[in-house]
Amino acid sequence: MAPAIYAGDMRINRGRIADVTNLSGTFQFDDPQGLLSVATQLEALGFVVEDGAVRFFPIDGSPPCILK
Amino acid sequence: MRALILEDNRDRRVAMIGRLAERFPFLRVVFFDASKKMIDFMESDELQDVVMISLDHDLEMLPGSQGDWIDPGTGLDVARWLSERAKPLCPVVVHTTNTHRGGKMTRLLEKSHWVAHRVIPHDDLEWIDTDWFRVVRNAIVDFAPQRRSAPVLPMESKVHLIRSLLDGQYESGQAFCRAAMTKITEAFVGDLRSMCGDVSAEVMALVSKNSFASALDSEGPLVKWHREVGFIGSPSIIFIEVAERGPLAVEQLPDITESAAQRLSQSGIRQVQVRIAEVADMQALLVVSAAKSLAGASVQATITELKEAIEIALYVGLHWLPSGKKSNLAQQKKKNSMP
Repeated sequence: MAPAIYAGDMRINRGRIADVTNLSGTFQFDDPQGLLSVATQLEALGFVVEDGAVRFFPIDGSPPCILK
Repeated sequence: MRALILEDNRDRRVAMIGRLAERFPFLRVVFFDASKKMIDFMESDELQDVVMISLDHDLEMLPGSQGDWIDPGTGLDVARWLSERAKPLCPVVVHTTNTHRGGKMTRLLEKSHWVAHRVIPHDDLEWIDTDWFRVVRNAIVDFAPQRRSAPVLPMESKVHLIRSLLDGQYESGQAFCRAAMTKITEAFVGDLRSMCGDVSAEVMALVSKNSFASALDSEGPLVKWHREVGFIGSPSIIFIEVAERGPLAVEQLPDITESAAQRLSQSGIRQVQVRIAEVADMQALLVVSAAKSLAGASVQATITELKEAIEIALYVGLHWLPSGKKSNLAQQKKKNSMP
């Protein structure tokens, strides 16, 4: 079985991605660049990622930020 | 990040904390079983990192020490206290089956400009898994993240830094690059240390197929490590493989030998992050190492700023002109601009 490349969750509102995050208790990816890559992949697949939708939560609990 | 929850039912508490841990493992949850306890807590705490408050209304009487019963108050007491604050703090979720009081709590909060959500419990604990968690998840994701902070070092400061360096005498673009990157890195490391403790930042340039050397005036811990371990585990290749992959724990570095990893750990390095600074055909590796996590958003923003500042230095070095040629270029420009 291949290892997970990235994990998180997202919310789709009227066909547009309202938010996409690294929130996952199982995998806990702590890599903002990786989350940006996920957003880029989603856009490449034809999804519209809304401005401010890419939201990163550091696993150490420090303040989260909007990446894009 | 913290969540404050007024809920006295044990089963509900277990279900809530379990669901939150699945998605927000870093979230600290504080429960209260009486309105006064919650208000006392909020009065004595700065509450800066609170991202969500959830309030039940009806609470069970609490047993007192004299065999008596103590009135725990209601969620409305807390909603009233919150509405009297100077400004809203975070989103509030009202979770109660008490239709009349639940509506009153929501209206009171909204009147004071709080973002309030209403969830009505149903089917024993099922509502926590579905309705409550969905509302809480969206409330936190909508509210908590902020736009990336402004660059630590503004562009004018970067330009000023480079101009001050240009006042010196440099024989070549390479000499300028080394001096500029050393000064820039020192400035940024100071910022990084204020955020996450002991941090080193090094810039390396490729000198042969499998070997990097410091592009700065001094050697940092990773350049020393690289020289000491030689080609064991191909450390140069490791740096290239992990470039732009975010911060990694030492043991996550691919193909690293046990002894090489041990040497890094012994020098206090727990995390490594590699970025590629690139201008035209010129490349340099920015290697940041630290004893603590580099994953914080402001740390990451600073590392990106450092990489971009190094690229500016590379750009200036690449377009370096000896003083004699500068006047020729100026003359040429003047000639070209003539009608």
